[in-house]
Amino acid sequence: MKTIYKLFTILFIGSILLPACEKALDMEQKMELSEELAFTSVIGLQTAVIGMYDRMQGGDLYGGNFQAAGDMLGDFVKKSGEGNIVYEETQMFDKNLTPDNRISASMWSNAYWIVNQANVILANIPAVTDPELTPAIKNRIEGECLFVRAAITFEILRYWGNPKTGLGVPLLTKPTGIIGDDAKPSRATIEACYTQIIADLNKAMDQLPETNSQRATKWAAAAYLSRVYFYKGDYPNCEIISTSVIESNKFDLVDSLPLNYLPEPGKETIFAIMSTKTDGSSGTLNGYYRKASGAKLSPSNDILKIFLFSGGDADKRKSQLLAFIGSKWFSTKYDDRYMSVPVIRLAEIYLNRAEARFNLYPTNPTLALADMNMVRTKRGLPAEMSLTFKKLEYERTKELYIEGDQFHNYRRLQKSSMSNYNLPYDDSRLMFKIPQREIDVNPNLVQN
Amino acid sequence: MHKFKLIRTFVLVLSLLAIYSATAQTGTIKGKVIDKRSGESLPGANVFIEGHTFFGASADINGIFTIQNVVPGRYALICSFTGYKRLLKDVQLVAGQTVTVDFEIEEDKMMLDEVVVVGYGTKRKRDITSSIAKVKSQDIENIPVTNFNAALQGKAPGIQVTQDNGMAGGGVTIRIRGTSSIYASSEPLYIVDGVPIFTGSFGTGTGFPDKANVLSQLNSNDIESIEVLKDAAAAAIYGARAANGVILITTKKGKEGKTVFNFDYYAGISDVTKKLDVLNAEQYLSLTQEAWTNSAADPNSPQFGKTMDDYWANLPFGITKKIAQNTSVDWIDQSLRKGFTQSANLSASGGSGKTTYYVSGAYLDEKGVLEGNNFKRFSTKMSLNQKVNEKFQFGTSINISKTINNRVPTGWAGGLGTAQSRSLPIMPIYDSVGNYFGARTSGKANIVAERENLDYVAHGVSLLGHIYGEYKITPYLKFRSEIGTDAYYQRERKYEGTILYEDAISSDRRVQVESWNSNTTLNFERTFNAKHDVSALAGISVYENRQYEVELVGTKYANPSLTNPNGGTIQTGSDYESAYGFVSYFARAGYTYNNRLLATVNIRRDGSSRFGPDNRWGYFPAVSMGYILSEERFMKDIEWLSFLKIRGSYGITGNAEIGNFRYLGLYYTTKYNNEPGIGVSNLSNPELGWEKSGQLDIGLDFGILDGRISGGFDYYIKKTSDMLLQVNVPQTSGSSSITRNVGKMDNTGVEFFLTSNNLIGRLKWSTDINLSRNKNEITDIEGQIISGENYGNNFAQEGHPIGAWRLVEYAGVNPENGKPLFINQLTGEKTEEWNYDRDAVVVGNPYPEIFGGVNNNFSYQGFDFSFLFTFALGQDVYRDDGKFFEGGKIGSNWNQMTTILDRWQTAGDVTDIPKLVWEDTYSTYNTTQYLDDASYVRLKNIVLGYTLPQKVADRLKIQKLRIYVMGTNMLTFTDYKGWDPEVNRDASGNITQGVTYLSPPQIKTFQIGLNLQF
Repeated sequence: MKTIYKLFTILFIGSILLPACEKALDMEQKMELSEELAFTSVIGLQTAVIGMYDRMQGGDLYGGNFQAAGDMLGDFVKKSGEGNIVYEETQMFDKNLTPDNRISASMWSNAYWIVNQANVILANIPAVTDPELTPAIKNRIEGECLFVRAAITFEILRYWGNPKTGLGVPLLTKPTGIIGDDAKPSRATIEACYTQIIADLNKAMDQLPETNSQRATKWAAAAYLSRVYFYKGDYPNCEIISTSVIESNKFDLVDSLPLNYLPEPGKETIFAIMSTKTDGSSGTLNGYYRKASGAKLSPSNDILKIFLFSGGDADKRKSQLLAFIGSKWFSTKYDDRYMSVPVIRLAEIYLNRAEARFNLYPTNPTLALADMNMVRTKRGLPAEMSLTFKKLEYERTKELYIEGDQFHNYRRLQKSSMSNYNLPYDDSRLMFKIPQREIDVNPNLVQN
Repeated sequence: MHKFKLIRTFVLVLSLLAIYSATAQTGTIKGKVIDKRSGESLPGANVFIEGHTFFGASADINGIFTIQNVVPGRYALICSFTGYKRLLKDVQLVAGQTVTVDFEIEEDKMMLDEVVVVGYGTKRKRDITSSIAKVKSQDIENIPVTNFNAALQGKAPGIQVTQDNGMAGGGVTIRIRGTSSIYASSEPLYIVDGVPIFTGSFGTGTGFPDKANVLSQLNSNDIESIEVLKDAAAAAIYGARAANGVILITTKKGKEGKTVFNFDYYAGISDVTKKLDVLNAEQYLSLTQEAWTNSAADPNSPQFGKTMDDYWANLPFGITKKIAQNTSVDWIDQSLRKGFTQSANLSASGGSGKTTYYVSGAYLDEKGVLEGNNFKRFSTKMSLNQKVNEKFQFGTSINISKTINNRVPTGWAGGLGTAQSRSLPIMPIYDSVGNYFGARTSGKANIVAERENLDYVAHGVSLLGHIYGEYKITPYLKFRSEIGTDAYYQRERKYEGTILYEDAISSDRRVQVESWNSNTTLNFERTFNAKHDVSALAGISVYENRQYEVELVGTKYANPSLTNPNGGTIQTGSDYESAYGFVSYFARAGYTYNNRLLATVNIRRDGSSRFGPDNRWGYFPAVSMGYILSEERFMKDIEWLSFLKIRGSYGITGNAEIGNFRYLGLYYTTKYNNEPGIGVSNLSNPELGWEKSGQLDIGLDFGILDGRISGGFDYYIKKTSDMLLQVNVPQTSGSSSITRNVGKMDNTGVEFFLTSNNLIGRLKWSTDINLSRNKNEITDIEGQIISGENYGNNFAQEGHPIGAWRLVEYAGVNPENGKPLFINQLTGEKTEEWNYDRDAVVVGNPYPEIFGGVNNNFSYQGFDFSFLFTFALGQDVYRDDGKFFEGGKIGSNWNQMTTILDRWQTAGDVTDIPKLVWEDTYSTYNTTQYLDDASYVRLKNIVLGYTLPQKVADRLKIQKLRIYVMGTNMLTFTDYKGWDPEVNRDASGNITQGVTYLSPPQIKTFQIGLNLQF
């Protein structure tokens, strides 16, 4: 029977060791935060807000393709012959966008990621019982979410909105989850999108503080509202809101233009995507435009003509922001590797108001002319004595060059002067396609 | 604790079976062992009492053995001798007497009594009812590969081995019976001496040979045997980790006797198997000018109306007309060199009485064929086994190795990849004042400057070992407990200097992976009445793996001589940590009736930290049966048939390589403008579990003419279900996909192998053939079309093999105008219009239809000669770079393959290469033009050796000396147009296979070596 004892000794030792063994199943994820812990406190809400800005910084959004995709679709850049143009970029030059274009697909997914995060934060605020969630903080967090949701929705509306069918983009104002009918939204009309964006920005303006450590402020929301009214063609409101931004006296047009494109935002920058030396915003833009980073894109002959012949070297936007390197012209706007990327600047607000006033008061161009001259004189040019639409357009083109305006602006004006192609502004070849994988999982979406 | 009930009951039954009593008086067993055919005595044959190896003896010079002090009783007495069939006799011993038992044993050409390692134990080959391939040490030694598993190529059926490239430290892709996953790993589980080891690459930087697997830490000269568990019945004892098959590696142990030293050395040179032909400077200028002229004449081209002066002004990187016309650089030659490899291995093994040991030290130095690419390994192994008494023994085995791998960029990232593409032959290496030409402006096109600028080295240290104790509770019941560890430490230093960049940048990355494993088993084995072989096993296994990484990056150095990240004025750092664990219970029972009817059942219960809480435990059962027909009387009459076994098995295995913590709903952490942030990274799925494979295997093993010809055949169906899929969800929800167990995929195949001893006289000739065929089909992935892990246009879609391509059919060139033609899939007609969505069709298969090897061995007196052909037929390779350098990027600063010399030039030309057009959009078209049949037959290995006659050896006071010359990859027969048909691009995966993108080629080697034993 000795054997039996030995056996039981072994089994006994085994049964002591076993529970210890099963600890191997209790592994802890230490790199990421479990969802239960994400929204229990002000810190949770606050870090989630930062998470939104972090995504906005990405190369698919404000850190690159919100600007550059439009440039490649537009008239004023060409392949520089330096950096390697990828397939997706070639499609943009060729006005041959397909539903598998990875740049537009990734813009879509990141944009909606942010919209969802904003909605998740807004939905979670009421449940947070943290006493540190004061009304001021609550208002500010809500305001930031509304601002971000509106700004992002507006940017993608400009790429996907279809003037022919009147369809905008899916409009999401609360978290949808991944199953159920609300997870498969249809595209709202362009009109409905504007309504929502304007409502969000108005509310954001009410709730946001005047300063907010380089994130969204009351004035950022107001400035965006100016852009949105401008694009909507709501000139009365555009004039009013632009005036309030200008008269806030928080911002000034700078004398030295490179100041707008440095790590520290320039005085005229109302909202910027920030960079630090360890967390840059401008890498993608450097790759597109910065010569030393192998600029993929360089100014087209059309824009060079405008720069060289309408103002010439007196125009600081040429002398300070364009450079002839080697045998080619390059823009130096995105030359700082740790620059904060300006999203909206005071100059744009002046030009928005100028054009709004030009439309509102056709018989009295004085006000519009004053706005335009405000920008012109700051850029080193003599004040214009008379005003034509062409002059306004040139100022805008030069001022906002490669800052994500020109392509959308030409379509806003229903101009059909796209280089080499002469496509009408509402041609579907100028619209981003809804990613195929989205159409596959959401039959409610109608392709452009 | 109900889950232990079954196991406890099982253990109790085992122990009851095993109880036997003993008395004090003893007797003696003696006898003689002779060869049944020749009648010669067989010195060295072992005779022992079953279950009592301590009660055993070796036959002396006259074949006589004596076993003394045996307790009286009825015993099964076993005689075994390498190369002979095992013989078992029943003995009744009475106290004080001597019993004489003689053995006449037969030669065993089929090695049916050879011991085969199975999970948590061993079995004799004849008793095996599942599909296991065995490869012995002599088959993999001295083959100049850094990863031992590359040497498995062509050696056994069902195991597809692809060396990704010929780089020093390059990776190997192994598939056992096909790919059975999309998102989880398809690599087999590796187990060294019972300890599961982790595999994979811990290097950063795609484009570098980052698949340098930690397996390269293992010295193949320390391996005794490799067993590959292929079917579910064999592998299911490893449960949730076994669906891709299991590779069991047994390392060398000491053998009783006087100390034997083995010294192996070889040195060899290597070169690429083939050099790709690209345009030289003269051809480049002439063809680019032709493209320019063609475009200048085309009103729709941006080049319309431009002149030759414009052409010269358009040269990139500051290359002037004068430079272009006076330069001719073969950049491929600039990145290649002749490789040189040396390997030395010294081992000592021996033991006296109760202690045996094996000690080895080895050095491998491989200078690769790519400039700057080196791999060095220093390794040592120690194995010690001590028998304390008849019942208790313990031992340990430790492998320690250090590797140094100098890495170079390849593919799209630089080096040879750039040399064949963006490095233009008209670009000089140096400018007029001796600086690197275009170092900063050419986007790394000057690969000599790039190489000079980069210093990238990975130091790896690995530690693999275990200790064990084994106690015989009864002669038939063994308790064994072992604890093992596998640890890997890597330091990766990368420095990129100011030749290419404004600011130098350096990084220092440390990886630490530690795993430990314990196995505790009870093993029962007994033969009753010489007819009923019963075996049983029960065990518990625990495994834990933890990984830690830290990386520091520095830039903008205070002083160029300080290149550690610490010297940078800007420093960033990051860390990473992850962990997973398994807890497993398993049992196996086997029964053999009268040497002919065989049955085995096993079950494993696995739990893993990787699975969701609702699905944490899974059961993995298997059953297998065999019938040795040749043992039956009615078959004995068939003279020529010496052995015939049919066998069948079914079992379920799992694939748990699904990533860690994937079931958790998670938020990642990030920062913006120096403030901390979080964001959704993963949606929770508490049901997430392993992928499941049910596999049916039907097999047959045979021996003909007394085993002179032997072989086998297997047919299998492996159905994978619950396959992990990233199920797409609308991205408007903020998420892209959720990981769920929903997909299905099938692999079916046949395997065949044959060994024939063609000549057995003084001139010996034997042939080994193995053939495998595997057919993969995805049966359900919810209608998704999943694109490959990387560019290359491979997809996973239902009704097709994984990795089939979606390409537009290329229909040659329109002889009228030189434009490429495609097949319009709606009309079936040729068209110049490009419409991928309309015209893409599913074509090709990156996996071979048939693959295998044929080996021939000759020996005559002291000479031995062998050559191994391996082949893979019916596989395709998509040259993803083809569209760029067969005309596509002719205006985009890419060099071109010389195949474009056959381009269309004038109306009426019939060719496959279109008219040259500057910066053609053609470069973005994925068509069948670049899908090549990459079938190949290759002389993988050819060896000629000479062993000194024993007399000479004796005079030299050595035991054995063999010298040899060996060539690998000496000949390759293929129609493939690229470098080499055996290729995998840098970032291959389950779907992306058979794709090349400027990938480095294979190498051929020629080496001389010696094996000395003294």
